[in-house]
Amino acid sequence: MSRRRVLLHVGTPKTGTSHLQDVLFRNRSLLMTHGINYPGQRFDAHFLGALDLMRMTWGGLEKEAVGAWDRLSGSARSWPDTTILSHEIFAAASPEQIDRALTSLGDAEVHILVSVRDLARQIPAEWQENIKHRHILSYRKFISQIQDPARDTRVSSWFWSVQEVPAVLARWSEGIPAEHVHVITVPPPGAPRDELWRRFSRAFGLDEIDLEATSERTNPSLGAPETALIRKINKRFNTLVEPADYRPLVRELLVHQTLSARQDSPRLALPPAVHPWARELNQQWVEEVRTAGYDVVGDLEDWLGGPPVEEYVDPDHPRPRLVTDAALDAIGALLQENARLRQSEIALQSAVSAARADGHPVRRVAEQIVNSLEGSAPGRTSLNLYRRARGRLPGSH
Amino acid sequence: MTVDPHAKAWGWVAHLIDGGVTPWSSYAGRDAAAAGERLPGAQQLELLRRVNQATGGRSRGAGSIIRASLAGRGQPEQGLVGLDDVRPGVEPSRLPDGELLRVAASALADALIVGGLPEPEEAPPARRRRRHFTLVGDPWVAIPLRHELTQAGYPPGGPRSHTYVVGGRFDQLVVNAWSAACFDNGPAPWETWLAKWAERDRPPARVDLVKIAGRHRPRARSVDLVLDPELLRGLVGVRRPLTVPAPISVHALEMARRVAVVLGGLVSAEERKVLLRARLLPALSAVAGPRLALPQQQMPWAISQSQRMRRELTEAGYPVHGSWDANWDIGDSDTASVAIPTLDRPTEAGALKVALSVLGKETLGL
Repeated sequence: MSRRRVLLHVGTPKTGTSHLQDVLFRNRSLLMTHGINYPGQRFDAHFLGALDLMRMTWGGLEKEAVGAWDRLSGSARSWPDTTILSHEIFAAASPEQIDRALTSLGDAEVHILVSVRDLARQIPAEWQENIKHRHILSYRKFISQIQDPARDTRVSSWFWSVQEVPAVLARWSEGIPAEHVHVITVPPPGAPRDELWRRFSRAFGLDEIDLEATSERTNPSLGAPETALIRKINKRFNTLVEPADYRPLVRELLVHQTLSARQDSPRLALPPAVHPWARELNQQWVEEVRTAGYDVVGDLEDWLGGPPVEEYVDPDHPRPRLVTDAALDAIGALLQENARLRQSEIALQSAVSAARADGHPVRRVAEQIVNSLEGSAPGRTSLNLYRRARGRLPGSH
Repeated sequence: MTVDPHAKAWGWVAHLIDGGVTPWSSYAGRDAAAAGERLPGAQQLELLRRVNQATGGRSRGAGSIIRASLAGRGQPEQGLVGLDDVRPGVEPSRLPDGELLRVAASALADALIVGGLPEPEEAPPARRRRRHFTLVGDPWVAIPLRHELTQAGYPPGGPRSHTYVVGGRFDQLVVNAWSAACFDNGPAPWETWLAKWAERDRPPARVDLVKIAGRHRPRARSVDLVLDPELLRGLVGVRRPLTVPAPISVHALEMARRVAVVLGGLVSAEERKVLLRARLLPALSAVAGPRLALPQQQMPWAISQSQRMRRELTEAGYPVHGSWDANWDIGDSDTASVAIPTLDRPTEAGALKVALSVLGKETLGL
């Protein structure tokens, strides 16, 4: 009988998955020495596998996903022990896509893992994620759409396809024994900082491995005024900024490097009036999971969430002074980055002129360009994209 | 009377595969044994039913339609109302067109891939005594003409080529740029794509003739602007008439765009271009329908761009073949040709109708 196991982590978004996937990716060599395969030569290999399996577009990234699922499943089939595959958008896979995925894993013993968090935290987090991906929908309209039973908008159909946990579990666990389906609950606010990691480690069988669990790749959350600012930026500039420029400039530079540092600003939360509806739904889901007999890592009570916030800040109508403050930080970051790029351009122009005058090889100029780009995160992002396109990163397709 | 709803459902599937058109809610035909582990999704089944309606039940691609994946984002895969299923149950005939288009795009993409890349056409040897030229500009015209000329023994390129920049009325150039992209990289939806350029107050890159001409000027023997593609024949030294491609239906363009988007995640960029142009474009060119036109609210931008480009191209001193007045300037709306029906945007209903007609044919090897 095959010893092969595949631990397929299929969701949900906004449950600490970025951190988990980063730790797994950075420790993949060590994991292999313990019989655990985390396939892929790039950190987003499983994301591309999901895009490929589900025929999804994602701002042009799907072009890099051609054949990605076949590579992941091929690696799982050829590995004699445990393979971990993880991406939260697998949650939205259709039964037909799931059949294809499971068939492609061969005769492995498949375990399905789903990490869950209460809707009171998921709803604002998903709205913010929408805004970080160029959307402009107000928070009020977002909530209204997801509460509409018709679920016939792009926003609501996507939200429920990845967040309606019992449906996700039902789709993915068809034909899989309940004891091979694992629900990992995200601990409540105030829990020890490493509690979520401990639960992931237990669920994935990583407790005995001394992993480097600090992560560079987290998905820091923004406050209400900061999210409002990004939404305004999207409304004003979406048609002027290409997706390939939006990612390094807005999402990376403004959101992740600048605005997420403003942790004293009011946090996003669920409006108190919506709280009873969300809690009732969570209650229902807790009962369904309990009845199904799945393995639970953590405590199902965590999934009910806490009480509504005492002071709710509406991100659709934030205090102007707070938004202005955030905007000034954003402008400061852009000015600094622009100044750095200007200096870089001046230096490069001199280098090119000198190279032409002296007949020096073009390689020197190329080296200077590379050194300049490596001086900033957006520059490194651009460089990595270029290298991937040229097939110069290990395992580039 | 059916006691097993699943047997009834499989009976309905068999009915559709046989060319039937009865909606699920009205089906009272025979039951059938399960023909697979899982019933196909409601979106897939309804698309097949509509294809059967469009073709009189003569479609040969039933299997590939019901197996097609739901591409992109939208509703989750639905089941049939009345069945115990992990999928939410619906009456398939009430599904919105957008949901059926997701399956249609996927099925057409699959058909193109399964059909394979066409055999590379071997171009005849280039004629020894020919003019050297490069053909750029309006991609809807330039791309097929380059191919046609190559096949006739007049390949573009060569030392010290004359560069011919194909132009025309700016509103048509914009339509042509988006149209060409629908058979290339799968652009954003028409209105989103158009708004981007209008808000930037720039022409789309592929028809920014000022920049295109400027890029070629340093290396070319000369750069000429050709406002009337019919004149190209004489300019490149070809005796036979050239086939200047006509625009195709706006809904066919939208269907091509959706297929291009799906193909983008399945094959390489080069393969996608070949499959779309060599296999899908001929099938869609035969579909009748209104042509795409610029919306009225974008005409001020179009006129402004047209005037600016004319001024800059004139100042640059490029020789011009064709008439600015007849072939370039955007006149009043009532001077435009009104004999050909136009629409300023595609519709899901229109695109679905195109999909149904193409899916039902053998053209793509379904």
